[in-house]
Amino acid sequence: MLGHLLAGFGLALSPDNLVACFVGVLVGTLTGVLPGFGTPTAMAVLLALTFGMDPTTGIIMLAGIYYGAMYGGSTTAILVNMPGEEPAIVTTLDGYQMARRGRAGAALAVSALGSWVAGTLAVVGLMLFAPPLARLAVSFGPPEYFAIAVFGLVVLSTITSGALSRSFLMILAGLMMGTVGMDTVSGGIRFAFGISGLAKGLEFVVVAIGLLGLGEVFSVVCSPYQVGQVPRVRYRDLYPTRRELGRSAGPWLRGALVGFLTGLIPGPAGTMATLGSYALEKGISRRKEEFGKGAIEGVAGPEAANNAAGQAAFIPLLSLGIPFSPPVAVLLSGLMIHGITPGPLLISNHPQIFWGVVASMYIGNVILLILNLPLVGVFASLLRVSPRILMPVVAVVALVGAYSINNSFFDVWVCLFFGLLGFVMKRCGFEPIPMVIGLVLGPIVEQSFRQALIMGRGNPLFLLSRPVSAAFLIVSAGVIAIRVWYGLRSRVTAPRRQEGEIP
Amino acid sequence: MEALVFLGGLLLGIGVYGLSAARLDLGNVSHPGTGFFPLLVAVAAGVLALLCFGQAWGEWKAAGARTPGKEPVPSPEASRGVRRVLVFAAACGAYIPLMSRFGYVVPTALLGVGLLKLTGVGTGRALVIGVLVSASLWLVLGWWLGVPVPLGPWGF
Repeated sequence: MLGHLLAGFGLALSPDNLVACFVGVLVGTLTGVLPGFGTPTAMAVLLALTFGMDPTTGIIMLAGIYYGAMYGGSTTAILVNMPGEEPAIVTTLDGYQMARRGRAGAALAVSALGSWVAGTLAVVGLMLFAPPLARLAVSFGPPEYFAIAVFGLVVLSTITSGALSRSFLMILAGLMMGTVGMDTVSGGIRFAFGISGLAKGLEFVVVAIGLLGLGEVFSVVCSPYQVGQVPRVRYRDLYPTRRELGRSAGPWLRGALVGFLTGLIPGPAGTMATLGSYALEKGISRRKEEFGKGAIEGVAGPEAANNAAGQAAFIPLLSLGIPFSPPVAVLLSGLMIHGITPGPLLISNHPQIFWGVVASMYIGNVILLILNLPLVGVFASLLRVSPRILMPVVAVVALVGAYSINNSFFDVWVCLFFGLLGFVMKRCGFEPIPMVIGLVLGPIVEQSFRQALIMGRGNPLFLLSRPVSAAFLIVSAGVIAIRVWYGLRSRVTAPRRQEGEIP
Repeated sequence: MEALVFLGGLLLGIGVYGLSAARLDLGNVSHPGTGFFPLLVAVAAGVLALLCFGQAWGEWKAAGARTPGKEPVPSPEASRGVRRVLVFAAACGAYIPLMSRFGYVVPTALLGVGLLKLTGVGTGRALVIGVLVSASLWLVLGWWLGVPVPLGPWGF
């Protein structure tokens, strides 16, 4: 392993890869800071930039955007009470309160240091756990892949906001979209309805830019956000006191563990990790009354968890080839564009990519720490850019990005259509993320389902005859049952609670 | 009401998809054909969409019962917001044929300026930002990365 890691550092430290890593984490930080410019959109738009690059360099850049955004999201949360990325919502609780008490610099420093500690620890975990998992996954067949994909979809539907039935409906809509175009088994064209552009299928990246990127632009254009006064942060303000550092060390380590474990679970891992870490810190703290009023543990733990989760999410992608969140799905597209099939054989067939990316993450975390501390004032000043200017620019970049993926005008129409659909979905209370993940996992689910049925001679119970697939399917059924039971119970108890029968 | 319209449209889409799936080769359980999986998904989606429609209908009726005789009317600001989005989307739609006819640079700059004006940015500022965005994207995509951006009658 050490030899592989050293070779990875040799690759990651080459000038091209260093520049790619720097550009990736810088763009990622900007993405995290600027509201409305989501991580999947930034990655999807910049996917075009990687076409001419060596695959390792391209993936290093895309990965840098992903984990760089985790750092940037906290800046706006602390300074203006506005999370740049969804997981940073928790950071607003205590980070903004610290800023109001004149400790914005300390909160930013603790957040950046925690992100670095947890990010680095998570990369160690990635390095230790991904190769053995990939070796195990080599023995997986269609039933296991079907069960893992179903598990991913079920967990995703139960943890995204909104009703379970609506999340499931969006997942099924995504699965339906995934069947458009060529059938991978028979080679026939399906659901193209005579439109030649649909014959090759719906390009995931284009749909993601539309649903998540343009959809967000339209939402902001409909109801623009207001940015309050952005406090100035000077370099000398960035020193936390010894006491603040002492109080942060434990939350950093616990947050790293919570985040790493949560990152392995499908869905919005960052948000779950920050919520879990905050609950843990508040639960074990002797100063519970300080939480929500500027407790440094409420910033240190969640920020560490957020970054650990982001980097742990690479484990299912790099060892199984299954993405469980939109940004990781864009990375999957990046690998496939470069002719690399993600999955258990990636680490053995393309060790330079795996170890190069792992080594670049160590370097990227250091670059982020160096970038985020001295330049935090510069990043904060970007918040003064009005959404009236930002949103048109994002829209132009998104449309041009959609065109550049296949040089296709049809793709731009598709992007615009899904942008409007994303806007309407949000207004009607439907989350677009389950649809995007359904689209990504659709071909895996269908292909493995059909192959499993053929293997089992038409007996669906064959899926339960293999231990791994049976375990994942039983857990999936359990997750649904628990969620339905809670839903039914809350329907029964809510009216009685309102009437005062239940305290 | 918006959710009901959305779910109605979705049900229609699922119906069309399901009928198309049923016309494909379904095969059988031991050798599933091209339409087997899509038909299963369409049936499941149809049932769930009906369930969601029923829930949304119930919520809408309950909201009506709380305020009898009064249909919930969107606020003027919300209506203005939706109109802004429609104009914004129309401008984006007009950009696509313009780009195929006049190449990349000029329509992209025009789109940038147009969208900035729509969001209330002053003409001078919109011109500078629109042209800068178009030029920088062209430099990165067309010149640096060699993405074959469409050329207009002027050769750019």
